[in-house]
Amino acid sequence: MSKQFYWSVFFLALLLPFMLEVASSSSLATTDSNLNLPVCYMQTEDGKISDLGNLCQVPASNNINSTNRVAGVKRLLDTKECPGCNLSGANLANKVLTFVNLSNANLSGANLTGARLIGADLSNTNLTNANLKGAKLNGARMIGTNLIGTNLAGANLLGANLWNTDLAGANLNSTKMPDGTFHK
Amino acid sequence: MHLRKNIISTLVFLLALSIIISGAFYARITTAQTSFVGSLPPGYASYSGKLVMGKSCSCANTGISGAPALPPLCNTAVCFGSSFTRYGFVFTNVEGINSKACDQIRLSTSIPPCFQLDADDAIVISGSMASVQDLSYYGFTLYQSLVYNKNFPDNFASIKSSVGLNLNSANLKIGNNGKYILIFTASTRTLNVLKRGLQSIGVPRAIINHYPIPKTVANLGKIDYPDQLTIQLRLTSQSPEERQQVNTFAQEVAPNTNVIFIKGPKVDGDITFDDIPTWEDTLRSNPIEYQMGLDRQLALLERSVTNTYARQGYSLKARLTEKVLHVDTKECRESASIDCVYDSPDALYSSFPCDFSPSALRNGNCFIQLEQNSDDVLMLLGVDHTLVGDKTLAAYVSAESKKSAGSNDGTFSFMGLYTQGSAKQYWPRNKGDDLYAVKITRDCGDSPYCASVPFLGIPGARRGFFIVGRTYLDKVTASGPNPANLIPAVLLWFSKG
Repeated sequence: MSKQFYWSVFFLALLLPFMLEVASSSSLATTDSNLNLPVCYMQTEDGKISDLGNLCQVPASNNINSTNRVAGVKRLLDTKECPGCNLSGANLANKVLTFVNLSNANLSGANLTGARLIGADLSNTNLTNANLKGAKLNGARMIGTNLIGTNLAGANLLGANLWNTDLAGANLNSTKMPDGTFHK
Repeated sequence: MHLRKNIISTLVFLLALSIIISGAFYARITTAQTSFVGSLPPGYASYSGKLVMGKSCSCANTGISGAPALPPLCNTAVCFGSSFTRYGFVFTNVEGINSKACDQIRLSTSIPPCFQLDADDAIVISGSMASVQDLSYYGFTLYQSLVYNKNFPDNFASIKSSVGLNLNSANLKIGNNGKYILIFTASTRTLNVLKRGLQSIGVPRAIINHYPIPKTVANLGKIDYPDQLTIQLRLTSQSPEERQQVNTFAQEVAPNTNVIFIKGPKVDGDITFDDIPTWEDTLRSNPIEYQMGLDRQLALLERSVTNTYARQGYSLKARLTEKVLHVDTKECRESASIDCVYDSPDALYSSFPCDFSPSALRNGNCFIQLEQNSDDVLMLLGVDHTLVGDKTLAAYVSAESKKSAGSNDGTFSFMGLYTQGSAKQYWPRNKGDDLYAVKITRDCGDSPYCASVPFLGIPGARRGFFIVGRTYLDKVTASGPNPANLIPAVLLWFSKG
């Protein structure tokens, strides 16, 4: 019994790199360009995402988060809806995200440089340490948004609603403010 | 009796006077137009067109209880637009300017008349908005109806996309008598030629308006399949009095409105899309709805409505939050497979996305189903944006249902004017003047502020509709309202048992 177990571990160790390669070569995602995080998952033909955390030997809890983030980014880009999603660290640079619903979402540390967030709902969204340099946030609803450490340099906030939002901790270098003036 | 006679005599006199004045007025315009055409420099030629009005009809079967009846059904295959808006279109049958492509398509769909322009061509409209000056809304919009795409039949894709920002009731420059001149052109040179010509015959500069066209859209001499353009006039009325004003405009003013197509000397235009302001660049911040605490009031109203239906044995089946959208015309132009459905740049459109929709309609509209004899109730709760603060936030709000494909449901339509005060029945302490609460169900009975959804099909047939809202015009910016300023509406779906 124990002999069989050792043989199984041996073959698994040999085959594991090939299994991942096969998964990768058949367009099954093992990395994701939208995220700056290592991920380990595959997408089935019917669009479901399977967690391959055990094969990647990544702690399961972290991997589930990554999978959720990947699924969240996909959902956001497909439907423009992802309220309450965990998209921390996501790379959404230069994406067209007009009128998306990201209320109550976690976008801490996300890369949103140059993103078009016109009319987006960012109410109660966590944007701590997110990079929104040059982003277009015209008419965005940013009520109660957390902007501590957020880079809004060169961003356009014309008409944005910042009710109950504290801008004190944000980088506002050359930011176009809601009233159309430029922050110095 | 005597007083009544006096009033009637006065009204008859005023009517006669207005006809005489307007007759004289139009005679002056016509004279001015003739002499204006004669003053054009060599290389320019003029051709006649006209402003034709669409019929007064409704896309909806029913309205809201307590409101005036809707116009008769349009009975067209595709019924786009609002039941409260009457449309006018610029038309010409001049060979080479008129659009054969649109004419062919018009036979099978409801596409309006089109035309095609060179980059130094222009369209000049001269008329009067005097009779409709106090309307809830009017606006002129230029559209790309058809654009070249080799992947589509006859090499044209139908994108129905607006170009630039409207000239509307908030920013159209008009004279004391409502007189205006409106010039559509992609050429500054042509614009200046026309302005000089008009001023030389005494037309004041203050009433000359320019609607800039990007030269890539006025491309008749440049490509084999030039853009087929449409100019649409929207006239929106809320009350019967306003509807009468629109009817008067359609019957008396539109036929006397002068439309001239100017052909230039084939010099390229200079105006590009980059020169034309976009809606997002016009936005102003005005969080007054939040400052007034209307978000909290709306939440309290929602609780009150939920309790009211709970007491009647209903449970909450779904709660949907309104999602607003300003139509992205760039997306329509670039993809060619997306239809902007003659969007208005002055409007925010809203829908109610949901996760349980079996039919993925554009913008995630919810596919709501009410069984044929169902006593389910939908409650639409929101802030009447026209009543808040300085009352300049938006010109009007409206909501209507649209049929899902293959559905046998009828549809409803109503305007904000007739929902005012509707929240009070659910509001014990007489608050909520700025809120509305509209009931939507199969059979309204005696319920006030209620829209019935008639079932028009055979039992067991497919049901379903989706709700579209419109919020028109920030009067200060003269463009579409700022979504960030507006508290989203809520749709509650109650079911018995």
